[in-house]
Amino acid sequence: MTEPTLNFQIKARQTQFRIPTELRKKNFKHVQKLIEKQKRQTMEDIKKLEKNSLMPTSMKLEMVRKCIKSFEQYQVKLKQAIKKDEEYCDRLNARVDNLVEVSNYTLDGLSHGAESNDDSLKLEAVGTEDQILDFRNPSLISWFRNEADLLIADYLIKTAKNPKENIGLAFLNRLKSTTFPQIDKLIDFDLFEQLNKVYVSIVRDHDLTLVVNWFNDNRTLLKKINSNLEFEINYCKFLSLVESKQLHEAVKFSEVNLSPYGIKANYQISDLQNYENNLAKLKENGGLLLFLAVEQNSNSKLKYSHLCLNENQRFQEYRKVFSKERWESLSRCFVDNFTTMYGIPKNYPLFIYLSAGLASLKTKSCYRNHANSIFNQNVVSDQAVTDRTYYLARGPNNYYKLLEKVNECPVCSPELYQLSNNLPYAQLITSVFNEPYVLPNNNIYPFEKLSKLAAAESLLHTGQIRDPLTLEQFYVEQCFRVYPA
Amino acid sequence: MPTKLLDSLVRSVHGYTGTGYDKVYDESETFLNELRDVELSLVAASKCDDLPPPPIKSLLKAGDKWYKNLIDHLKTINSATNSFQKAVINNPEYLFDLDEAYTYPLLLDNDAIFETNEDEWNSNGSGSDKDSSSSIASSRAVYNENKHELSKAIMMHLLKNGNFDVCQQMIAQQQHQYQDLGCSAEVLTKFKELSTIVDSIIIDHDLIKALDWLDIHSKEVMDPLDGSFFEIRFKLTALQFILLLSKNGKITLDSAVLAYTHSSKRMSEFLSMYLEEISPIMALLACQGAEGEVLIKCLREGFKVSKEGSRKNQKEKQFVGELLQNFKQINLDQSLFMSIAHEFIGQFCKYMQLSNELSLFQSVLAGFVNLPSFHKFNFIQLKLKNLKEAKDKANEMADLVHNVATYNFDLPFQLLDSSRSLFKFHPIFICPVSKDQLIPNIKQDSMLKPVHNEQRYNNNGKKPCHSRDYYPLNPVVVLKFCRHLALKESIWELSKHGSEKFKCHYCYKKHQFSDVSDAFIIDL
Repeated sequence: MTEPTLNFQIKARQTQFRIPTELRKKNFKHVQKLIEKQKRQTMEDIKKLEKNSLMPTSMKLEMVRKCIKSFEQYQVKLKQAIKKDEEYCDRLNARVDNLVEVSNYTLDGLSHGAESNDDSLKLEAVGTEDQILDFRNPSLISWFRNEADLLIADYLIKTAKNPKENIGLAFLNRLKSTTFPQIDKLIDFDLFEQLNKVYVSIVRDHDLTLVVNWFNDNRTLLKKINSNLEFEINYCKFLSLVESKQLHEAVKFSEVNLSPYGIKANYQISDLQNYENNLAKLKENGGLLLFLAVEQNSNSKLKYSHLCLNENQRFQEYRKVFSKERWESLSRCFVDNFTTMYGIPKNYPLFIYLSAGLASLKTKSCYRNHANSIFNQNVVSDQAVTDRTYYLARGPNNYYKLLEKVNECPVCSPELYQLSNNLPYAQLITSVFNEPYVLPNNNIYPFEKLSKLAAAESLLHTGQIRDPLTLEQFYVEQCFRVYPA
Repeated sequence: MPTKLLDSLVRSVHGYTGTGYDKVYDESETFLNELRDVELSLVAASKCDDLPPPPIKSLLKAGDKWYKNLIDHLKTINSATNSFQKAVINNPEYLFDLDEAYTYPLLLDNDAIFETNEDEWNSNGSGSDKDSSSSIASSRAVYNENKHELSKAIMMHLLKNGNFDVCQQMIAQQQHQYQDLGCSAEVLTKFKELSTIVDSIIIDHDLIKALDWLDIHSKEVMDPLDGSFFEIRFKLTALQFILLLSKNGKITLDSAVLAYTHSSKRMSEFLSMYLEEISPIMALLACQGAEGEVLIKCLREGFKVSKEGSRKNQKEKQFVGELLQNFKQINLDQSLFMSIAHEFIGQFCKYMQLSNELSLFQSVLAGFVNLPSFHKFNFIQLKLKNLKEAKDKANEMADLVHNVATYNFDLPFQLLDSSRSLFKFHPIFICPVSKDQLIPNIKQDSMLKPVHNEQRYNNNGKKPCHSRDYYPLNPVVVLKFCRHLALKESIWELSKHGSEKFKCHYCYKKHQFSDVSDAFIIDL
């Protein structure tokens, strides 16, 4: 089934239901802990009161008041957790409502918008189990406009360079206030914002605080997916200690926090790949210390042995370890764990849809149309053809300009043309305008538009038309209908 | 119409979200009140020794009950979660991996927010393998460049959509890396104006700014081959009339005067073109009070009949029909204002000599339409258990020269035709003989390297690589006697390199190679 159907839209949005469910489960565990803690504390206090029945009333009162205070604090925390839960439920309901809305825009569900009488398309439907979307319905196009904006917001939130002023969130707020008040319920912006914040703190700030906190919050779940994040964090810490020349602390840290990763028995069978990788890294720890010693002395007069070491392949590897790579490796591990935990696609959904879209729109008539952008206006495009009768003027890169017509093709816009460079061309069928007429100068145009132009120029009543490109005039009888297919 | 899958999803979601923590909170509140009661008893006991001691034992029981009830509620929530997971999250019917539809990855990084400096990349790379390091560096440059282009595409999307402030924020944040966006302040100012107009339409429901802008720029925007300029002006004028007339959902004498003043100023120019559409709208001026309601009903029905009877101005008629239907609550119909704003944006883009639509949106929309085909392709490959091999093979076969697809690199599957009408941008000609797509002349003289047909099959009979910079001329030709079209190369082959007569592939009329003439399909 390759039709764009309602069921496909539902399935493609499975993550939209998985994430709030995971968040609700996490919140549930938080509530559970909160209740257990409160129960333990309260019952202990009450039992104390019961056991010490001879206790003075004032003391009893003090204990009860303490108990009430702690219970009120618990209630506040519970309320916050309930609010969170309601928010996740709202998201689930908004998402399902959003899909229900699409069911009005199918070929069989024409209750809104444009009418469709094309039975041939209905016949192609996949039976009663599924519904084909009606892309001639303007309401469906508007619906996809919101979806496209959501993909852009998703990408911008996750890739914000400055988490304090996350552009994706700014965009989402703007959409909320102008386009669609419920739009923020359709995206797990808070989760993606967290992903971005932790990522940036690792890669840009080289700060482990956020990733450590995140690891501690999700320790149990991470264990289930055989996460290697704890090792990566500790390894990063170790390298930072080595780099800052705190060798004693580094060795001590390694003994306590890294050595256990060298023992096979500490790993589950399904986790042996991590064991192999970690062991390989741990084996190099001694070499790293030696590398640092050589590097520190590199300013002094180099000995021959130092020079040899510097040229050594393994030393090049050590240099790599002390570069940004360790932060990138940690960030990759973090992102990988994060996406696995919540079932988030590994690729930005914007890339996936954009790639499919560009590949399905790319034709062999596409060219880099600098005119369709406000950026790089200083770029010198191909030399302009001024002679309108010259055969090169008949290429789309020239005739749009000469006809003062805007090329509407999205792939031709310079930015997307660049992105489509490595993509295949779509397999298409012949699609030439209605009533194609060839003029004596070999140009083929839609006759209807030629006659409209001729009528506007008062030429038609003399039985003539003008080629809008070459500006030559011809009698209508000199022009012939051609048949592309 | 909902499908079974949607029905089941709706049921599951409603069932799942119906179980919350309200009872947990209420139970806790009840127990807290009991604690407070004990507190009150203790306060009273501390003041008066004769009072009986507070019921601590019952508090213990209440505590146990509170905890037991909470656990019961938690169990209910937990079982609702498990059911939902079983019904939706882990149900194979809903299972879908979006990554599996990413058949042709863009040259864009998934895990890099910050561009990697090329020097840095080189220094990180293995020093002994300079060739591979330089090739990585060059692909890194492509990745960085593509990321830059995607940012610009998003900025264009934001600007054209009236999100000027967000775009400006984005430009400000990226300026330190993208020193030269090549965009003038003057152009940005125009988009700021667009943003103001779009806001006034969408947020304030005030169309005067848009109408004034169209009046000022009518010369630049008007196109004799495209009636959209008149269409949007008429729609804006009519909608503004309705907004003035039915302020607060009622037609009053004051609102009628305001609407009349507006119509006398702006409506007259449309009379010749849209008389049928204007008449019922103007008649609303007389629809005050209870009797007016009857008249409104008549107007609606009358217009419906005239709409069905005439095919002229269908879009405008549809619009006026909607106005007549909902004119008292027009302010609540946000989708109407959104759609008007988009139409206005189209005119603004025309003025800026940019494409009417948002290129990024159109591309993503094509993705939404065609993703099932890409997903199915990968699914079949997976089923054949050779996706990896197939991907490797596809990569090998992918005619890429320096990361650029050659003209031989086509999608291995055909896309749907049903939604093709949405995406008609270039005239496409597929040769009925060779099935090759026409490659128009899109290079300038200096770059164009035409190859004669005789030279084309010198590579052991295989077609030479058609790169974007180097390709043979293979224009459309018109057959003299029947006017059918084909590609010149096909005719050259049919005529045995020009030496024999051949029959037209459609009508079998005989021609010689000299009977065909080159032609150029031009999109007007």
